Amino acid sequence: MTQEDYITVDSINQYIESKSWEKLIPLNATFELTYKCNERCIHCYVETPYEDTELSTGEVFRVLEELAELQTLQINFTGGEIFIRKDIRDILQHARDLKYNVTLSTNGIAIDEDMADFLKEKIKPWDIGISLYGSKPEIHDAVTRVKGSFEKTVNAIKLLRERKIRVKAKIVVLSVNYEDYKNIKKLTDDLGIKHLIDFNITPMLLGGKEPLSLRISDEQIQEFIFNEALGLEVYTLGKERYDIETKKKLDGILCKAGVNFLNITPFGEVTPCVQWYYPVGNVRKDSLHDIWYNSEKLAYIRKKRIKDIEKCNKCEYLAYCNRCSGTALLVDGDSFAASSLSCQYIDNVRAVIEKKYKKGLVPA
Amino acid sequence: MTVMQNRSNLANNEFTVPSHGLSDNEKDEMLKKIVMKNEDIAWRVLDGEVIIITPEDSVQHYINEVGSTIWGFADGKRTVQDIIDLMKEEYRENIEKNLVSPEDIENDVIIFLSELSSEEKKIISLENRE
Repeated sequence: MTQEDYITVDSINQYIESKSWEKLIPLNATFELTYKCNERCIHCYVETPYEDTELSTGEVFRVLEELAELQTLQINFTGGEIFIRKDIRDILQHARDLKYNVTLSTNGIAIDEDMADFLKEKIKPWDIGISLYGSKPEIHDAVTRVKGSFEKTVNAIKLLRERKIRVKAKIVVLSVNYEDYKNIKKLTDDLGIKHLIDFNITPMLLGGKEPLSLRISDEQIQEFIFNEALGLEVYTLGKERYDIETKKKLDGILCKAGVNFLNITPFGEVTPCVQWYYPVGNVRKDSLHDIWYNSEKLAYIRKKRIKDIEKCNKCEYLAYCNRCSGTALLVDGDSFAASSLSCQYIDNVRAVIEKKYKKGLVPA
Repeated sequence: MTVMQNRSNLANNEFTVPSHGLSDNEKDEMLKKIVMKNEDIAWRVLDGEVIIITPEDSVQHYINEVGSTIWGFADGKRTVQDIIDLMKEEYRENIEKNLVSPEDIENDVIIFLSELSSEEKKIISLENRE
């Protein structure tokens, strides 16, 4: 075999992605194992009736087996805090035995040497995403509202890195840690890990608006986009490419959610995406196969096109937009309308492009 | 040799089949080995084609339909020879129509499995029967 058969991750992703869309294979899944957490982050979107019973070990196993049959390859275990579950080792081991490519999202504070060894030797995760909110305890712990969490999180990162497990810091930029961002980035460099940035704070799953007060301002977002140059070149398309991209977006599906991506909540609800709380079935009632292939809600989602959304259909910035159905529902109350968060982001990008390149987003 | 060519080889005979480059002794040794999938890899079959992720380097590998048929036969019990026999059976019609020769199939399987078991890939291992 030559390199052609071992295509790079990007190009093979594209091939697999299009294939999974075409064949309706839920290639990627997130599994929210619990909404319980050992931190109480001030911006957290989880809001849930705790009296409901979370999936048992046996139920989680069954879901994993059903997902494997549907040919789901990538699985991200998230929460809440996954390491709170007493059966977490059994669950991760079962996922490994079923040949998933496993990624984890955690705050890391429950990861000790023994757990790090287990992850390295038995699970071999693709990567572990660890939330980091500050470069020092005063800032990080003020976000998590757990004293000592910064030290434990940083320690977990070190334990994992010592074992050569890939770790990426998930940095949520809030009004309270905005000034510290550069230091957080430096800390991740010092720790030898990559980082992901998110400043899109959303309301809580059941509608609570409290986290919104922590959003950074438009000016700060612009400063951020400007300074961090988050791929600004993609916002300066030439006319021909702009037209092609606009047409592609108009005719395209809303997003991957429900097309080759799904999410399972701790209560067995199946939703199109972890950020789109729009239950299309429950694994306690129906098989995943049945839900994935027969849900009317999913059929509706898959049929919808961006051009069906009135505001998006007329928008001249569509070529640049990655509209999110989840935030459209959370913020605007309608999964199938424009997402004001996406609109707001594009507005901020436009302001930056005008300032930096002295031109608009729409090519002349 | 590529798996894409593999597919062509098995479909028609217009390609010159490259040799696997093994001596007779080496080949005889290899035919007796059991084909074991690496326990650590993640993999799925997407519409008849196998997608593999190797954890060490986090590379995604894609194997086409013919390679995927070979992959499907590798159940941790079968030897390289068993898999060659099964592939010949799978492509019996093509052999009968002279679209592919049994030698081509043997060659393709040996090259394919050698590649997957190479030091760089380590997607499978070839083990001695216990």
